[in-house]
Amino acid sequence: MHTAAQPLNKDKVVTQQHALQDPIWVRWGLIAIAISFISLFICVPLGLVIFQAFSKGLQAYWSALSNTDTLSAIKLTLLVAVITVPLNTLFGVVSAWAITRFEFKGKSFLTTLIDIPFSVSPVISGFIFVLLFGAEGWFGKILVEHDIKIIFAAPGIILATLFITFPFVARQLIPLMQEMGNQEEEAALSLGASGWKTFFSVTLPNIKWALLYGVLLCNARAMGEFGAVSVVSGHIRGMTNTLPLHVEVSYNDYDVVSAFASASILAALAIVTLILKTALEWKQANR
Amino acid sequence: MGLQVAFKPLGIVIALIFISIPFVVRTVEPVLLEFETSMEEAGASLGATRLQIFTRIIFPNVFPALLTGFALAFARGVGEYGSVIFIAGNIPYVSEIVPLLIVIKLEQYDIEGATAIALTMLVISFLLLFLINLLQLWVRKRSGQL
Amino acid sequence: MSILLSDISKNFGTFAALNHINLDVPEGELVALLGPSGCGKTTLLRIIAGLEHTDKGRVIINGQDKTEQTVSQRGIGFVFQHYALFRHMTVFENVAFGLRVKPRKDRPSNDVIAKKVHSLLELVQLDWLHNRYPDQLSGGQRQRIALARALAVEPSVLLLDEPFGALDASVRKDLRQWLRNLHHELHVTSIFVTHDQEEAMEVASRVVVLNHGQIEQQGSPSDIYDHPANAFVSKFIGQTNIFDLDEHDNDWLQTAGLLQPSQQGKIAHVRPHDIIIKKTDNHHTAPATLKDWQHLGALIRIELVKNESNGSDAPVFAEMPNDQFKQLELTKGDKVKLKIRQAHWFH
Repeated sequence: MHTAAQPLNKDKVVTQQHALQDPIWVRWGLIAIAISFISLFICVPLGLVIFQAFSKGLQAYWSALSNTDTLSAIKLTLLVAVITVPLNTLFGVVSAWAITRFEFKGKSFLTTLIDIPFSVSPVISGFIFVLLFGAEGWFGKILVEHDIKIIFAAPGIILATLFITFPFVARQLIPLMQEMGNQEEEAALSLGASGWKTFFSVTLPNIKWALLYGVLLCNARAMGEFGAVSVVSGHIRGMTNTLPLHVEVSYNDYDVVSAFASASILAALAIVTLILKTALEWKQANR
Repeated sequence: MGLQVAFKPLGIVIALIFISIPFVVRTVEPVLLEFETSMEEAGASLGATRLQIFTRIIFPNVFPALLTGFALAFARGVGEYGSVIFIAGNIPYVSEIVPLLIVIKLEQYDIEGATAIALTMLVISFLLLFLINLLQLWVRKRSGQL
Repeated sequence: MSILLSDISKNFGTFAALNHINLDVPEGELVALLGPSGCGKTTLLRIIAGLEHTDKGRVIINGQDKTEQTVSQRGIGFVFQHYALFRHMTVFENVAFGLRVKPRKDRPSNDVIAKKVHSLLELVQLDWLHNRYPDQLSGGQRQRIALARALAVEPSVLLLDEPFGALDASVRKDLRQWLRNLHHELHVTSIFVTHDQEEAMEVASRVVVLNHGQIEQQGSPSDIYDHPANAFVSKFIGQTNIFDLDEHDNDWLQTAGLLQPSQQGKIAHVRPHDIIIKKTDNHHTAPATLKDWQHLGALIRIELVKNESNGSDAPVFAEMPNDQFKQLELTKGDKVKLKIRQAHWFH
């Protein structure tokens, strides 16, 4: 092959298209569509939230946030997240482990069940808890007799959030653990490690970034959930309003600055989540 | 501009687009990432154009994920409540959505009515889930035979 | 230490993976479990390790019944097919793992662990890699680290699942020799699984041939090669020509020296090197035509076609050393005479 030995024509190399490269107009066209779509439907609304929150100046923004109702909404939101996120992390790891490591009857049914909170309307999710624990619900009588309040109180909000955010961790872990296989775990066991030891020294280090990612998504949803919480909360100001509910209540009262100020916290939460998420993905890729 | 978004069905459409994009992107993306370029290369080596490679090689491989993403997005769209009620104005017969109807019935203490609507929607969600699982089963079976 | 398997059976659903396996491995042996894929050899290895449960039968290691023990209690060393190195740990930490997870009272001090790990890494000649991560190693290096890791806990038996399966041909050759030498040095009872008969013959002191979940034959490599117990073993171990008396020309086989009065069975298996090619006519030689040949290094593989009176032209394969073949000075299409030295007969 004497042609291969000849010096390559540089211009030709530059203009030569890679076999799998699409024409420039296709590439840029697709990128432009994706970017304009995202900016129109995601960036513009988010920007608007910030703009409206500061529309009457920093002072108004700050006083809207330091209002007692807003503060109590922030507190309740944090409480809900602090309780639901660790619980669902635990549930998520356990169910991902069960699904990827064991063979049992009804396994595919369980996998389906995990997805239910994704496909059921949040309003219905909340409504289920009203039916169970409301004054006229199944357990309503017993609860009233013992003076336990679940619906229109913090426990109801926590239950509804628990239900809504259940799938995030498990969904993040299952594909990864399936792909990883269990050879490393078997190796650890064959070297004499106990089940716990194997989990903490072999499984956990391998899934930690995906787990953190799932926790992050779970947290974002736990703080931002509206529909389900709205049904069970009863919108009692300063008592059972979480941040998203506070946004609605303020908005309905034409208190635009307060509504958008609260919304800006949620938007900031979303942005922080995104940044952390990107960092995690980067970390995982550069492991 | 004469184009009113708020308090119109168009507003609902925009809110639901915002909500459901991630479901489709997130299900299709990993499949595309994992997609063997050698299959595309094989197609190219056999003389297929980029368009042919897309329609005959890439699309059939992505299609199941796309359907799954579609079903997830659809389920979420049907059930979405929060974002819609802000923008839709909730005018009866014009821009009122089913989840809102449940909330209204609930506020009127019409538990039976709320339950009836909720049950109907639950059945629809379960059917969708069932469909998604069937799809995934079908994909697994098909790729197992390949 | 010795391994005794008694009456092991295992089903996956309706599929019988193992069927009443009895096997006795004396102390210090290096045994190959050999068989085609799906024959149950890996399942058997995993049952010995405790990674899989038996439906029936006992696993006895060094006189102790280990059937009910879990893999972490059995004290075996297992080398996984794809090595299963912990990807988030350095080579050093991988090898040290088994020592670090020992219960506190049995756990050696950090100094002892370090000394032990380094000596093992020296044993596998990879001490210079102790700070690397598994992703930074070649296949052969990973294999040796996996072995060092398994040896760190001083296992009573060493089990290897397709130890050379994922390696390049040249690396594989080196590692086979190396494993055999290592076994000579350590003398730990070892069982490895392979589907490659050459590998089994080269490395093992005993070969166990499995098929369809049953042991077809066990013995030393030469035993199995020279005296195959049945047609399956004969076909699986090395190349063979198969003559079915019902389909072949008996006259031709007789002149080739194959048919003998004492023959038992109807099917003859003839190794290629048991076929002698001559240019000149002689007693007990049958006519054939030379079709083609290939160089296999020191040997030449020769494709022939029998010239039978019934018109059939079934192919025959022969092998002979390079220089002998050159002396014959044959070209394609030449008529030659064949003599068959010996055959194995099966029903």
